[in-house]
This record gives sequence, C-alpha cells and structure tokens, in this order.
Amino acid sequence: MLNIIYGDVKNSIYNTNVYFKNSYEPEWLDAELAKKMIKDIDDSEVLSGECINSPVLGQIPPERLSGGVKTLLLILNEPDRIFNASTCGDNCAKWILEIGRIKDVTINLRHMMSFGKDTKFEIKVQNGGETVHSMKELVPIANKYLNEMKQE
Amino acid sequence: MKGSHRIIVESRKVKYDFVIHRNITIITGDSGSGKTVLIDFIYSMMESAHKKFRRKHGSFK
Repeated sequence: MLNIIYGDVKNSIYNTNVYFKNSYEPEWLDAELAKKMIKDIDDSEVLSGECINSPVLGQIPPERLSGGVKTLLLILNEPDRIFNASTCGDNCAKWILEIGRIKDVTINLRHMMSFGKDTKFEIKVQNGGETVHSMKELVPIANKYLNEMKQE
Repeated sequence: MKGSHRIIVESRKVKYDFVIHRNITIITGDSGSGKTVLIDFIYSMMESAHKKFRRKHGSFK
C-alpha cells in the first residue's frame, strides 16, 4: 500500500542523494525491479552491484544514478523509512505506485506529483487519512495539505 | 544579466546548447534527463576558468 504524507515531515529523509551515497547496498541492484527502474528512468543497464552502463556517462557507480532512481531504490529497500519523493520527476510516479503494490511504503511529497491523469490506484493520504483512487480525487486533497506547508 | 547568452557545453557523448535570457533560469525535467550532468559540466568549466584566472591575476574581485 502506498501512503503519502504531504508537506513538512520531521522524521523524513529530505536529502535522498546524501542518504543514498552513504547507505546503499550493492545487492539492491540485483533485483529485477531495480534493473527495470534504472533502465526506464536512466536508460542504463546494471552490470553489477557497483557498476551501471550509462549511454551518456559510460560505466558509472550507483552514486551517479539520477536522483529519482536513487530515491526509488531507497523506497524499495528501506520501506520503514519515509523518503522525500519530491526528488523524483513525474516519470518515477508509476514506479512509486508499483512499489506500493508489493509492499507498504510511506513517502513524503512537497509538491503535486502526477500519478497519471487516467491511472487508477489506491493511495492513502496520511495527513487526514483519506484513501484516493485517481488524480481527480487526489488533487484537491493534496492541494489542501500542500497549501498548509509553512513558507520558509 | 543583460540580453541573451548562448550556452554550449559538451562531452564526447552529450552536448547541451541553449540560450538564457533572464536573471533567473529554471531548469526542469524528468529524472534521468540530464539536469545534474549539465550543472556538473558548467561547474567544472567555471572551476577550471577560476583556477586559470587566479593563476594569472590573483583572484576574482
């Protein structure tokens, strides 16, 4: 089940780039889902747990994957933590939904991520406990909580 | 910033070529579309230019 908390969340991991760099495990890249996500988002092939072949950057370590892919890998492999998924582009949204289908995860969003205009899904918005099944249902609810975010 | 400025940065495998017009330019795009690669390129060029300038003149004022 995918859970979302909108706005400022004290116990969320905000800088997923730094967190990933210091915590990833090479075994994470062995999973088929990880390889599919890296191929789809970064157009890259996993050669091993420490090496990915990028058409633009050549052979790179996992630290040089895109920020969105790193966040997806964190959500997939550390489901007990809450990660800032506003580091992901909308092209990562379908993978967040996919991860939410196979395990219970909670993400933090600070913007209106689009999960697809016509996509049907089940998402629980933790701010108020609402369960939504489409962007038409999600947008007004998310908007309410995003507007409550403090301006820093 | 006044006027328009064409920015070209490239490596052997990728080339960025765009024009900026305003004081603030916001670069947006999907994950994996190359935003960080572009920023790293520009930073590397700036760092290299800065070091060269310092060797010649001291430091930027």
